[in-house]
Amino acid sequence: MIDIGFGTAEAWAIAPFTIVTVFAIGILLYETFFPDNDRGVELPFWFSILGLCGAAIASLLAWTDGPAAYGGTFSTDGVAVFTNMVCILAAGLSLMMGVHYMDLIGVKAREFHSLVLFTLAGMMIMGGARDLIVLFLGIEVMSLPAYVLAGIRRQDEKSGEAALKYFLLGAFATSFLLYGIALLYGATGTTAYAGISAALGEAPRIAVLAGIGMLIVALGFKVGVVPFHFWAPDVYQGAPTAVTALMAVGVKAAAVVGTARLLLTGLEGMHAEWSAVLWWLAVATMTLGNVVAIAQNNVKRMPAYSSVAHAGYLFAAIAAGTPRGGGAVLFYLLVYAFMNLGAFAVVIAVGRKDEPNELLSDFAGLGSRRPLLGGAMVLFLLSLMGIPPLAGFVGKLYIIEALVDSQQVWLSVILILNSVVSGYYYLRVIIEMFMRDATAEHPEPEAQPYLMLCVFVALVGTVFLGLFPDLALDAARDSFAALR
Amino acid sequence: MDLPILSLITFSPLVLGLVLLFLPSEPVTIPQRAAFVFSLIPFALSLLMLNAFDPAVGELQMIETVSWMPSLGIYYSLGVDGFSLWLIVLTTLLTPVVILGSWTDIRHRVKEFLFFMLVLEWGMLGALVAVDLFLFFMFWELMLFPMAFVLGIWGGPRRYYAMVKFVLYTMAGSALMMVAMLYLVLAHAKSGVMTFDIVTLYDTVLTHREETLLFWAFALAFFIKVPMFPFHTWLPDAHTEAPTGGSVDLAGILLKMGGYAFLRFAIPLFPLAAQEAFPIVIGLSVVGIVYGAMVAYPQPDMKRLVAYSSVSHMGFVMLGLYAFDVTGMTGGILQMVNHGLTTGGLFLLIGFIYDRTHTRQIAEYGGIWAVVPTFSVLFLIVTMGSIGLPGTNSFVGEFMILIGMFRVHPWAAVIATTGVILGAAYMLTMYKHVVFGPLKNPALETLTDLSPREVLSVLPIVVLIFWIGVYPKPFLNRIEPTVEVLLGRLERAGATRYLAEVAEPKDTPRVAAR
Repeated sequence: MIDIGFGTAEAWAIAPFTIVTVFAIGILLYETFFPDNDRGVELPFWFSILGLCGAAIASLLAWTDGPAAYGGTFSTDGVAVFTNMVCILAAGLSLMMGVHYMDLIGVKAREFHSLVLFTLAGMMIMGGARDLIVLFLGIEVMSLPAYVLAGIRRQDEKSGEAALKYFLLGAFATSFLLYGIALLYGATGTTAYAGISAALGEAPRIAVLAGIGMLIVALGFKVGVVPFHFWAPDVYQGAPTAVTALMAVGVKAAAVVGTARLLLTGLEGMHAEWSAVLWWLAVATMTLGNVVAIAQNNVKRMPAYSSVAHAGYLFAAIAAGTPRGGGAVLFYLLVYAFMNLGAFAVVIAVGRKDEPNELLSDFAGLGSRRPLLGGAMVLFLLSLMGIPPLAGFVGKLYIIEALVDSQQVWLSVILILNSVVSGYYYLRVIIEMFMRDATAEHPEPEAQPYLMLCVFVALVGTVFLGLFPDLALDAARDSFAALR
Repeated sequence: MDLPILSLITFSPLVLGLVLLFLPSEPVTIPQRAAFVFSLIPFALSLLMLNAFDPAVGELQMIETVSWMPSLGIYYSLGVDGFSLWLIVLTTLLTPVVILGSWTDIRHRVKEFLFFMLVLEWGMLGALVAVDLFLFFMFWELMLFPMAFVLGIWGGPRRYYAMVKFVLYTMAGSALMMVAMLYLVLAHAKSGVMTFDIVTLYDTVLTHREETLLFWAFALAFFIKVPMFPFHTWLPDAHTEAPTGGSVDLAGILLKMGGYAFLRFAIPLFPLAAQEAFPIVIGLSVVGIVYGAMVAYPQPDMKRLVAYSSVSHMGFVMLGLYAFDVTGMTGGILQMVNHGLTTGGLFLLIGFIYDRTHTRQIAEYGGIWAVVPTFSVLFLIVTMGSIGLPGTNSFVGEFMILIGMFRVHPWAAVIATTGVILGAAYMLTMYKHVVFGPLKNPALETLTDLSPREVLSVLPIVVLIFWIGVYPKPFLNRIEPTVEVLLGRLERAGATRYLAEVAEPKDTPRVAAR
């Protein structure tokens, strides 16, 4: 039995997500005690940002390569800290997007803020989980607020549909997860990764394989991997854009890191088996995601499929099965957070009141109407395509390096050809923005300082990580190399 | 000499282009004049570089190295040698020429066009001076997008199609190259050092199979850029839809990247595989020469005709580069410069006349010799330069290529020669139909002759056509030592099968792998 005490290590380990949770509750309490005091959205926003900063500082201070807390079930090692940073970043940028947008679509800002913080707490638990039960806990803490967030526009049918779909399929995936945990526990007698890893040798093979299969299905659902991706386009389209952005980046990042840590530490002994499965999942995911994205005319559905494709790239990096692959996953997640959130922020900025712009043709002439916004979007899109010297290129380069290093040359070729295919639909947006004239009347855009700040932060990240990736790259690589 | 001249040349267009964005866009003469003056700065700098270039040295010189991403072994590292020297000068020369030549051709969003032209120059120069594989790849991909924007914003009616085809074709080629590049670097890393430095990578130990696969992954990317038959189909579309300035840069410099990259990367990195590919490369070049010429002949559109003639001429260039002989290779490199000049000149002149008549259909012209004498004379000179009349630049290049090729593989030289004849046939036929004959089209009677600005933009090309044609020595002198270094490298690697110098003793045992 695991010896669960509570000492300094434990206090530090839970500090980051405790801070986030306390701030989330704080916002709710404020709502309770001052229900009519509508001081605008800025107060809860800055309050949340304060919480995020506190969590970020706490994660950095908690960073340790020593033994994990809670009897080895939860740790604040490099991987966890890196994941925390990515998720905090994703949450922060989503909140910036939401400041004006939530008002625009008639949602109470405080609910939004506290739910984002709650779901962030779940992501942080997933990043540090070294035990199947903790992983389960993380997934649930992350998912429940996310279901609500997807349906936060109660009056809107699409939003409700998105929430229901997400919830039903999510519950289904959870049952897979629990069944997988039960099988692995039955086979190895433990739920801790270290114990599983040690017991794999004598464990009954069938049960272990079945357990791994169930776990991959469940985690693949959360990541949105083909063939478990069917919820993604509908949910991404139906949910408010700021929520979509958080789901496409934060939720995905946590789930991917959870998968990577589970497979690379707990189940490393079965590498040959799960790597083959991941190979096919990755190929199917990126190919289907990209090919279907070509046919989309909706600027939220297209990134939805494109983010499915990016999930494929991430799974490919996990399939490499090496610490290098894990490092590539972490670095790509960071890069992906910047470029994808930037693109979503531009989508919101182009939108109008009561009539969320979602058709590709609404981007027509953006380059001449708002050259700076258009220029930023071009950089985000080129980065998503993987064009140097932007961050997306270095991210892909690092994934491919990890793949070639582990003799997965074919997978890397498929990956890179996929990014060529993706070029087609990203180019369509660029053509729309810069090479066609506006078809409809576009009113003068309102001032949206927070949204522009979000675009700016994302842009700086996208360019900076492309030109000077070294620091983040080393951190990502070292953190996975220090695992085990 | 401590001045980082290569960095200055490479980055001045980008910096000046960004400055340009802050200038007022109305009236259009402000950005136009500014861009023209700006574009002279990298040209002046490249002349300084030319002056400082030591012709006796064959290796890379004026090297600048700064560590960039140490965890991946990536350096910001630039250098120049005989392969890139003249192409750099050509690039910096053609940019002011293009800006002058597009003065009236581009009528909307002028400032943006000039900005993209300067950014394009930055990308092309970067690819030419990079001696770090990563840096090269970065610029290689980078130069795609300014060109794509030029094509997509200022192009003809089918511009989106042409642009998407251009981008995806090129990206598909470089995709495989990227994987191969990483494979190579990781193979080298087994010896303990992870580096993207090209000269260090030349000594990577590879198995025969690895070398062959990697060579073809690189070669495919370069074939598409050259473009070699059968990977040429993007070129006629891109040329036909591009505005004049885009066409000149595309034909003048972008196409040269393929040939240049063969010399800098594919051949020295994989000497054995490069030699074994000899029959295929030569075969495709020869087919390209004849095919391009035959398809060019019946084209009704002048730009399309010149585009197909590029396929034919670039076949010649590849033939020269693959002669593995000092004369042939030097000729091939010179011919890259020549083709840039003559084809660039042809596109410029076609652009000028199109500006006045808004048609490029050969059938709608005829008998304009008396109406626009200056145009006709310049057009004649550039046409002759393109055909390779003795006394013009292409004659020197093609002659050297054929001599070099004849020593190794006479049959290839013989077939390629028909390309010269066909080239004369289609170019002269076009010239005859456009300039001579009766003046059938009444609209042409009021054509105005070239303005001083237009003459000025073609003038440097005409001067160089004659200079290289009459006195090519200063050009060849600076290319040859580098060719010798490359051939020495091939010989040391045991890749001597098709080397001209050692071709006589047929029974030399071939070294299978290093």
